[in-house]
Amino acid sequence: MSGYILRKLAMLPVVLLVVSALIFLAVRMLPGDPARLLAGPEAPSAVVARIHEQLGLGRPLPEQYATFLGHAARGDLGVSIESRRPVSQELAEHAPLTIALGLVAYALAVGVGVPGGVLAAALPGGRWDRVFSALTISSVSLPSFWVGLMLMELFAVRLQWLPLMGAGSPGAIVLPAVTLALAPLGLIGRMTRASMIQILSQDYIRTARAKGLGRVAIWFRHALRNALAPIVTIVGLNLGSVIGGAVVTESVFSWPGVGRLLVEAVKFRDYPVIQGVTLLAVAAVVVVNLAAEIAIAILDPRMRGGR
Amino acid sequence: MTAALAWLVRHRSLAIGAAIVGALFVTGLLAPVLTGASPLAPDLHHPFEGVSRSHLLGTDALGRDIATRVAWGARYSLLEVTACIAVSAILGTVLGLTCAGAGSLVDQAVMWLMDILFAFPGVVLALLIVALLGPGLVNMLLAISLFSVPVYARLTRNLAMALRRTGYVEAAEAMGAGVPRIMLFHILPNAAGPILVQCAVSAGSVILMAASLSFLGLGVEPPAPEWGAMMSDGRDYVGAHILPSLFPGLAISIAVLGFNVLGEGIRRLFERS
Repeated sequence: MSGYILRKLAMLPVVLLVVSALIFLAVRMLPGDPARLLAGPEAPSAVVARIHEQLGLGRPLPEQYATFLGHAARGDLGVSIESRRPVSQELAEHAPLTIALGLVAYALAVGVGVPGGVLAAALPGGRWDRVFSALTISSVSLPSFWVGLMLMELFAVRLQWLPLMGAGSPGAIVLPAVTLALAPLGLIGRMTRASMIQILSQDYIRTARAKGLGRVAIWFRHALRNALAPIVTIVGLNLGSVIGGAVVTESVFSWPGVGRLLVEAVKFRDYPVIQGVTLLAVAAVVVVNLAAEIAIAILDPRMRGGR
Repeated sequence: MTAALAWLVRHRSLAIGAAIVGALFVTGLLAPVLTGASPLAPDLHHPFEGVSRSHLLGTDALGRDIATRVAWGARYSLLEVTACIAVSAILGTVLGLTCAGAGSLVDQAVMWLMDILFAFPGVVLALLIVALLGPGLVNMLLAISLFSVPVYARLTRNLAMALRRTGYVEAAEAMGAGVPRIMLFHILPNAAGPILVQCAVSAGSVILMAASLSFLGLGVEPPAPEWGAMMSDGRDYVGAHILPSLFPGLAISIAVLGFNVLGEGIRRLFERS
């Protein structure tokens, strides 16, 4: 493995440290005394003072941060003000649902976007290409919460094919996943098309065709493999916006994932939960981006030799 | 005449995008003239009316005319686009030029910070800022502006770095021009094109982000006729009354599509020249 990736791997803990410090500072700057919030508005001030003491809120910030890091390393992210349960427990309960939603959405986006983009690139300017480009520019322009509500009205209320909200039955994931898949589908589709058009104009493609290979085999076996690097990059880089999309989609469909947890926490100023969810989201983005870079290095031998 | 028409056909996306965005501006600016009703005054005798001649897009739960509110909502999206893009483009450009001018230590430090800011999912960062400052129009605009700064900073820095190595900048340096002078008068004018393209391209996502935050109840709050806030009101009646959430969402879609198509057109125009 190249030095470039090793360097990136070595930087990973540093980046996570800086991110956690930023989030910690931001959460400490939030208005309101966490001890007062935890104790409730009617609690006597002696109780508030004791909680203040227990949480170490009077100590200097660097010391508080060190304590926070120590606890976080052992999986202790504090206690939710709203539910009074450990934040780590809340995350462990809600995160799998967000991951499931995200995976189904990504599968949809890649499953439709990549073949669609390949076929659009096969005949640029053709009928399918025009339909596909109209489709992709619309899919990145439509607000996901609106699409979600309209899908709900059509498939859950009018046709009653699918459940309205929640995560009670297997069919319940369909509408939120389709809603969440739209934006990445558009991006992946456009990137696939652009990357394929560039590859299809190269000499080795002409050679493959000259020796009598079928067009479908050339598109999907010869060209697509070499067109994959930018597609993998966009899939990796896009995770941040998919997490953002999940926040909105989960709120529309009352899908009990971490996105909805975050929105509720912001509304109730539940600081420990805000801190925990944000940390988890940013860590996921940083790690997946690195994984995408490694995947590209494996896909494309030219990227292995340093920068 | 035919030449102009041919140009328009060749630059279809530019023409279509400009037409939609133009219509958005006209609607927003002329909203008080175009609409007879008040966007805020309730009319409790006529809730959830259908499409009719007196209510072109029906009425909402409080009997307010949806067409009027959608037209007034155009003002919010225009404000969101201009304010956020101005703040983030100016901040990002200043940061980018500073990085390119100040040398490697500042450059690396600032760019590293931008990378870290970039790792925050946009919505999550905006939520964190809203949690910090509280909901409301101004705080939402600040949050959206802040999370777009890294894009402009990185773009400007890379452009400036490339331009520093061109002959005319080296000539200016040789004549004794200082770094600030070079950055402002020699590099910025030549980097302005791509920065403007980026502004056009990101306008759509600004509207989407603002509408999302308002929809979640963390941006512009009801009863203001902001499209996202209108949908946050209307979502409670999905299943019974679809018009109050159908039309504001349609307006968002058309506005974002218009800006995206316009941005695409401007990008192509710059790529050709």
